Amino acid sequence: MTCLLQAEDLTYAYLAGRPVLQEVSLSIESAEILFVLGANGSGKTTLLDCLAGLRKPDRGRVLVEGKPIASLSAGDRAGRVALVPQIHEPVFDYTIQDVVMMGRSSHLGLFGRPSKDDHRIVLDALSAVGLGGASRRVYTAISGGERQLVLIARGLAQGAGCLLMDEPAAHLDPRHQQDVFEAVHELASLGRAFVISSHQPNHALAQADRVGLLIDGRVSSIGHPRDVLTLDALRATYDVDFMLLFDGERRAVVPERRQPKGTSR
Amino acid sequence: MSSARSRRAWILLLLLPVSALAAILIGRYGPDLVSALRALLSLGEFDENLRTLILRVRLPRMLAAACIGANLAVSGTVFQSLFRNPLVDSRILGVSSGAAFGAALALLLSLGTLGLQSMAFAFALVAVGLVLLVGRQFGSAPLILVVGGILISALFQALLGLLKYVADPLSKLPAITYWLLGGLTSVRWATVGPLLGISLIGLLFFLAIRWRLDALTLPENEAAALGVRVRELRALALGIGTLLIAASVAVGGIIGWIGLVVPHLARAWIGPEHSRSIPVALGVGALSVILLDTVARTVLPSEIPLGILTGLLGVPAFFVLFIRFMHTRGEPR
Repeated sequence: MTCLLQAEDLTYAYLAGRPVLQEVSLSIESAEILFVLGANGSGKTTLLDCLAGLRKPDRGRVLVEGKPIASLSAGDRAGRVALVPQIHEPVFDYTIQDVVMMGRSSHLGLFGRPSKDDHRIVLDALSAVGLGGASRRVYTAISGGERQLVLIARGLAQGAGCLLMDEPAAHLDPRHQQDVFEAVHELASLGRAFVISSHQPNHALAQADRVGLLIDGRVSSIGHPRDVLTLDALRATYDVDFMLLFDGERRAVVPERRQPKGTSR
Repeated sequence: MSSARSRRAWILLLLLPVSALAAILIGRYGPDLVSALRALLSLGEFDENLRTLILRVRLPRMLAAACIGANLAVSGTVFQSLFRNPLVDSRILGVSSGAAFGAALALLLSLGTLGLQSMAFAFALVAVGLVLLVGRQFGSAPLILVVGGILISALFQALLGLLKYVADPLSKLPAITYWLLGGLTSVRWATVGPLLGISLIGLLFFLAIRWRLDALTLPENEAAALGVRVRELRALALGIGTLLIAASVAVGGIIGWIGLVVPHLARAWIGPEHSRSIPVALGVGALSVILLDTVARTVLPSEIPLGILTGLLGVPAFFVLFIRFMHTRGEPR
């Protein structure tokens, strides 16, 4: 297995003296799905931005295929690491194909137009997420689940081996969540690596190869989901008690109902 | 591209030279088209005065109209994308109010046509420069620049008011008022050169980079993750767009609506991809102002200011477009 993306001792602060990330180290290999869980404000999105090379950490560094990401050109960086954002309403009604073609932006020459190869890559990327026949539909008129798949396809069109996804299941119903995760698994089986930030411990239990827990900007533990997502660790992460449910080999966690205020336990 | 859409593009390509030719043949002097054509081509017996009029007055005026239309429409399209806001137009960064102040100052000081153009151009750039300077204090996000544009516009409006207040109400004030209404009456070869040069360079620039502009409609972070050098590209596009608008306003005065309506028309017609919407906006913008200016100088015994005409037609046009847009949004193409 090759190490695609590696973070070494990342520290990042928006305001001096109040670091959002502290000495975060992790690595991701090809064909691997790594979930990052953490409470609101624990630094998940900042971590993805640093991994994508969009923010320069105050200390530490990010390595892509062994090379410091800061040393790569914008185009080389985009060709290796893709950021798949949360779905949003675009300003203009581009077709699906146009949206995915934006992933080829860095491959165009200064005054270049997309080549036949670019068009083929875009269609291949759409086929890979099961939207091969929909390329001419308008992005603003498709469902949220399809939009998320289109944004994944855009990351594929960039040529990136590692896709960083910011809460891909947010705003999606269970069926569309499942569509997105199935696409992720299929692409992972073909060698792509995924770092996925999430608010859903159950998604991590069901989908992840490994999970990292972020508490106040530090990685408190990282490893196999069943080892990491213990009831103690979940309580430490979210400040809520959880209970564990079993169904054969599968497991899920649900938050326990909190005691009404003022009553002793 | 679907065949219907490529047909539309061909219609535009055909309409542009036809209307350009019509614009220099039609006028209050010599309304007979055949004799005007004979004069233009020096065929048989022709009216020497008419030929002079066509080549010395109508031709530069038509070219100025084409450039101004193309400039306002293309920079309007680009600005709407850069600011990720379809309601933005070419006046957003205070260009027009800066130019208006510069022109009024030149009229007050009785500078000639070239002096007026230079002052309008210079103050248009000063206004945008101030907006960018203010914006830099707060990180230059698009919204900050919009707010900065509103502030600097208000400042120059106030300064313009001051100039009007002190201007001689019998001679200077009417001249200022008339200039502010917009029009191409004073365009001659001697004064149109800078506009033609800047337009050629700026429009070619946007045609050349049009494939890269789509990614700029995304949030900055997202575009940067795609490997686009967002800040550099945005700054370059803002700068060139500002030059195009400033050069246009300096020659034609304040001509509203073209920079707002034509980009919408182009997108509704051909789609939002800049690879198509930029050339179509260019063509439709040039075509509209050529036609409007021809109407402005021919339908009434005295000329209708171009800015008034674009307002009169621009508002209903925008209304119709908007309704159409609401109905067709989301249909597959």
